[in-house]
Amino acid sequence: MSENKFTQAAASSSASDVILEAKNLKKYFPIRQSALLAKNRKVLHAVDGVSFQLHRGKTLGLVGESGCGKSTTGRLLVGIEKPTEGEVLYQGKDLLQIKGEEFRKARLNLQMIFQDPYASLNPRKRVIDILSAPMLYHGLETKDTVNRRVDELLDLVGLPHSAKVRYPHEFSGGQRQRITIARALALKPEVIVCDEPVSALDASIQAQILNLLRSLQKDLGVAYLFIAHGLGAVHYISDEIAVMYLGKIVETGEASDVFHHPAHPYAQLLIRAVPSTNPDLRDAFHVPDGEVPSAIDLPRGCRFAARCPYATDRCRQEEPTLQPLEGRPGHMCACFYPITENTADNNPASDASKDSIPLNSGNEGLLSAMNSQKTVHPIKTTCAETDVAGKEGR
Amino acid sequence: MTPLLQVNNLRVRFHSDFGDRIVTDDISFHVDEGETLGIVGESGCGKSVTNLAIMGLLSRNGTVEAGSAVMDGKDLLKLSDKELDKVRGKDIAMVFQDALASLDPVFPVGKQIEEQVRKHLGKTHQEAQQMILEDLRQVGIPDPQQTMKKYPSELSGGMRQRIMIAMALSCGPKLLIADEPTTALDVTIQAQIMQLIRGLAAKRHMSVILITHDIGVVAQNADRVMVMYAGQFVEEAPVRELFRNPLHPYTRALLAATPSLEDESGRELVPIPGTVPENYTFLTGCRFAGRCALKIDACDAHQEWREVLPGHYVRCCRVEAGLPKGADEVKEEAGAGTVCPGNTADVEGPAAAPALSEEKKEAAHV
Repeated sequence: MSENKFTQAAASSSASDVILEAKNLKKYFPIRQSALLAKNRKVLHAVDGVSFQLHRGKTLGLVGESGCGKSTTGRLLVGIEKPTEGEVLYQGKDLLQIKGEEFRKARLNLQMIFQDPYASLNPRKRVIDILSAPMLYHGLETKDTVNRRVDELLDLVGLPHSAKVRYPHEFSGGQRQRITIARALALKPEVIVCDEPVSALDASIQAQILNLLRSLQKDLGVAYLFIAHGLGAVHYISDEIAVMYLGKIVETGEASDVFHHPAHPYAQLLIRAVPSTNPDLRDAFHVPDGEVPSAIDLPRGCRFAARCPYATDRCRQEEPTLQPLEGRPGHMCACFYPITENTADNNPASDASKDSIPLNSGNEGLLSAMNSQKTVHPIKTTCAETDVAGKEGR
Repeated sequence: MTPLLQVNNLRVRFHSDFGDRIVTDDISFHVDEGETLGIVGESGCGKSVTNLAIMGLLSRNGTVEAGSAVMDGKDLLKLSDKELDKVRGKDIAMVFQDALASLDPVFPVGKQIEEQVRKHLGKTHQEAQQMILEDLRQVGIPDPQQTMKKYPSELSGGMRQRIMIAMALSCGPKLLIADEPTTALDVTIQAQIMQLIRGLAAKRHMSVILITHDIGVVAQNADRVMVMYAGQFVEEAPVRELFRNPLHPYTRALLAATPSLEDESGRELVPIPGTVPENYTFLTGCRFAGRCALKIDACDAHQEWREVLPGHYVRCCRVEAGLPKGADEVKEEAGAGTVCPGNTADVEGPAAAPALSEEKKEAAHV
C-alpha cells in the first residue's frame, strides 16, 4: 500500500489540497486475560494498517459494520487514542511527533462530533459556557468578545440566540446535535471528524442535520471525515468513500462510483443489504448467511474470504493489498478478483469462481443459469442484474 | 373474511406527575391471515405503545381508555391477566429490538425456549428438546445442540435475535409482532433476519406486524403499510401503492427526507421543518399541520380517516375527495392538481414531495 499509488489514484487533486493524512495507522488493544495465559497475550486488531487522505473542503465517508474499526480510526485522527503504529500527518507534520504549543495549535484545527448528543454535552453547563470554553481556553476570544462569537455560531447552526442561557436537557436530539456542531466549529477547524452524527436521530431530523453539515462545508470549507453505518446518509454527504472491514480499508474511491459499481465483494454485499425504498426491488438480492469474524483471531489470507462467495484458495492464503483498479481512476480495491464489467475472458477469477457459483441462490442462481451459454463471470451477472432492476425501479 | 386481528378506536392514556397525556388516539387497523402489516413512524409516535396495549403489556402508568382488539372472537383488551397469558406467546408472539434485554442472562437460551414450550403446549422435557432443536435449525443457527446450552452473552447480536425468533415461533403463533427487530443490527445481519422472518411467515402462513422507523425495511418486507404520526395513523395503503403514490404530506415529506442509495447524486434532501408536537393531547386538528407546507384553515378541524382510493386511506383534508378509481389515472391527473394541490405532483418518486425546504423556519420552534 505505497503512498504514491494512493496519490496517483487521487490524481484529480493536487498535493496541497491534502489537509490530513493517515499513513498505515494501526491500533491494537490488548485483551485482558488470566495470569496463566499471560504468556501469549492476545490483541484485538481494531485498526490494522489504514491509510487515506482528507482533502480541503471535501468529505470522506468511512463505512463498515460495527466493530470494523471506523470509530477507532476517527479517534486516532484527532488524538483521542494513540496509534500502535503509523502516522497522522497534519499539513505534512506528524501529530505524534510534535509537542507542546505546536501540537496545541495543530490540534485546534481537528475537531470532533460524536454520535450521542445527550452524552457529549455537559448537563451542568449552559450552552454559552459550552460554546465559549474552547475559545477562551485557546485565547481566540476574550470574555468581552466571546458573546458575539457565540451568537454567530448559533446563527450558523440555526439556533436562536435565546438558546445561550439554556441547558442541554432543554433541547431535542436534533437541536443538541446542532449545539455539538457549533462547539466543533467554535475554533474554526479545518477538519471535523463526524462519528455517526445522525445515527441517533429520526429521519426528518437527520435530513436537517445532513443539510446543515453540507451548507457549512460550502461556506466554511471545512473537511469532514464522516463515519457512519447508515449508508444512505454517507452516500448523500460524501465525495469519497472508504469501506472498512475488520480493521482494513477494502475499497475506496469516488462516492457514487463505489456505491453504484462496488468492486470488492464485501462492499457489494454491504451496499446491496441496504433495504431499498422501492418495493419492486424486493428479493433482488439474497444476502448470504455469515457474520463478521472476531478481530482477535484474524483468519489467514483475505479477511473476508470466509464469507465471500467468490473466494479461492489464493484468497485463503494470501492477503490482498489495496490496489488501483484498471481503467477506473481514483478507485482502489483490496481484492484479487475485483468485480468488473469485463467478461470472463479478461478476468483471471473466472475459472476459479465457477466452482463457487452454487453459493449463489434465488434470483442470482437463476440468472447465472440463464447466462451460462455466454460464460460470463458470475459476479458480472449479478452486477448487471441489479443494474437493470435499479433502472426499472426508478 | 374476518381478519385475524381487528383493532378499533384504541386510545391509550399515560399518567405522569406533569399531567395526563393521550399517547395514541383513534387507532383502528386489522391484520389479515398470512399478511405482513408494516407500521412505520418516527420515534415516540406511538407504534410500540399500540402493540404493547394490545398485548396488555403497558407500564403501570398507562391505561387503555377506549377501544377493542378482537382476535378469534375475543377482545384481548378485556381479558384478565390469566387469560392473556394463554394468548401471549402462543397465539401472538413478540420479537423486540433489544434481544439482549429480552433474554434472561442467567439461563441458557435452550432452557428459556423450553419453558415456554412446556407451559403452552404441555410437552415433556424430551419432546420439548426435540422441538427446540428443530426450531433453532429453522432460524438458521449453525450448531443447535451446542447453541442451546449457551448463555445470551456468549452469542452475537444476530444470533440472539435468531434465538428470539425461534422462541417466538416455538408455539406456532398465528401472529408475530416484530417491534424494530433489526434496528440494533448491522445492515447485512438486518437483511438476513428480515429474509428469515419473511421466509418463515410465508412457510407457516403466519401474520406479521412489522414495526419500524426504517421506510426501507417496510418497502422490502410489508404487504400493507400504515404510517403513524404523533399517535395517529395518517395513511394506509398496499406497499407498492404507498411508495408509488404517497398522498399524506407527512408520508411525502418523510420520503423526501430519507437519503437513498438509488438517488441520483445531487438530489437535495428536503428536511421536515420543526419537530413533532411534544404534547398533542389537546390538539383537535391535524397533528402535522404545524410542519406542513400545505396547511389551510380547515386543517385545524378534526381530520377524518377516509378511503380516497381503493384500499388507500388517508387522514388529510388536502387530499381531494372523489379521486379516480385506478392509481394509474391518479398518476396522470395528479399534475392537474387532484392530489394534494399546490404540489409539483410527480407521483413517481419521493423527490416530488412538498417543497418544505425553508430550513430556517425550524429555528423558530426552539
